[in-house]
Amino acid sequence: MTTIQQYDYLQAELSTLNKMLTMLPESSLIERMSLEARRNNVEKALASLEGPVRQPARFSLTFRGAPIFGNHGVQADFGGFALKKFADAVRAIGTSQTETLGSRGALPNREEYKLLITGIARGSFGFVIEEPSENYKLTKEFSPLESAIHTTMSILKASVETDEELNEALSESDPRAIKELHDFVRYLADNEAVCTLQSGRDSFSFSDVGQIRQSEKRLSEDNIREEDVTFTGVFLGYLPNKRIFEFRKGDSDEVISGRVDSSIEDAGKINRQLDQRVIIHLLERSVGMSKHHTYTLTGFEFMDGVE
Amino acid sequence: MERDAIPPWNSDGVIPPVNMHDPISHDRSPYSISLTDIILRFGITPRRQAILKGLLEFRSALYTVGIIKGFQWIDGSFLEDIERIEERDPEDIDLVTFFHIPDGVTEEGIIGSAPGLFNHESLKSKYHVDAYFVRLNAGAPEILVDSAAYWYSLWSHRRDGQWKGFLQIDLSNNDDTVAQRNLDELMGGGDSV
Repeated sequence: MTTIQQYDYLQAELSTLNKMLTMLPESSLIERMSLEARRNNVEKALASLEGPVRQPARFSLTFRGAPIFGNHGVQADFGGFALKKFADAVRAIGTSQTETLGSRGALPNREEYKLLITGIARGSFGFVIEEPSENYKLTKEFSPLESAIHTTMSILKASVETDEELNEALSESDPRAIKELHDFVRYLADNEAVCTLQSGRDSFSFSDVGQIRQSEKRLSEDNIREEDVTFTGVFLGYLPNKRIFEFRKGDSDEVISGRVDSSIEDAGKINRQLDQRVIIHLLERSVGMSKHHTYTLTGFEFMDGVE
Repeated sequence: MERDAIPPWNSDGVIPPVNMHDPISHDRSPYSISLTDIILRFGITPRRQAILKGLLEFRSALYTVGIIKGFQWIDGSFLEDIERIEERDPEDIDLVTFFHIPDGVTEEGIIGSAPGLFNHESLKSKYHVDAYFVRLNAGAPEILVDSAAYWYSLWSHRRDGQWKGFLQIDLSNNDDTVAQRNLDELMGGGDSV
């Protein structure tokens, strides 16, 4: 049981005990002593949890289609593989927010992206999944897993929207991460299944198998073109928290911006040498028929002998 | 009174809420059983025997102050296969005593005659019981139902939502005499009574 569940149960019990103590006649001395002792123990248990606590990331992934038997069950092999592919995609998307993934081989097995199945989600059939960590402190910040789920849902949503929206949704994800998500979607399409991802008040659902096939094509490498390009110009600035750069090409007024790849360790030097001519190396990405590009900065060298 | 059988532990190491081996029987939690059955079934380690000794002494103390009519609900890790599940001994017995106060006696008078007997912490250390009380003849049936619902809801499942069963034994000095003999025999290492 997670800390938050423990906390909720104890809070509920405390409320019940307070109500019972209010209702108890004054003459019921023995039962009052008893309930007060119980309340005291519940309060001690609550204090020991260092509450209040943050909800762990919790979401549900449910399926409909050929391998699913209404809200009764799901074929075990399909359910197992689909969950594994989804977990791989979330881990790759999450990890790619902070580091560069290799194009093949095992994904880093990062603790913060491990998923715990904690229940069955019915309606259609699927699973309730949450972060396995035991002890959350009060914080409003998203956990890494929450961010990864949010990005995953954004990409799935955008995969049935315009090319520009899909390109924008993909802007923070490594090609390997996109490939992992594509594998998940393709697995569903191949098995004539669709899924619904729900996290808090946010949810996305594929309407039918035709739509998931469309999503699969749009997330494929054939549809997402990536190219290494080099430009000369000057940096206009760098936002370290968002890892976003701005750059003016050559002597023109054209300004491009994008994400700084996590492989660049000292991106801070950009702001120290603004307006100095620099050669930059970018991964340029475009989707479908769109002429819109997104960029990821993969390297740079300052000219005039200064780096 | 017809007694229930105590079902075996299920694979989770708890007593199931209904007897899965005999699902059409009337047996269901709280299983109404004798104290001797508890001793024979659960007095399987020295620690458990020491806890049961405390339970018998606690019941004896209740009889001494005139609480002789009622029953007790028994629950907690003592009823679980805790040595296997968590590789530890049970610490105590969870206990709710549903009791009658004899006519002409007040709760104040009973507490005055045995001040420590209703102190939760001292009961734990003296008798190994995590003990609570509910009065049956206080004359407020709605409150009694609330109390029963509270304890049942608390004890009928683990906090992770898993359903489980618990036991009920009558307050009975006669039963305790037999139970005491069985416990003495167990603690003395005999094979039977």
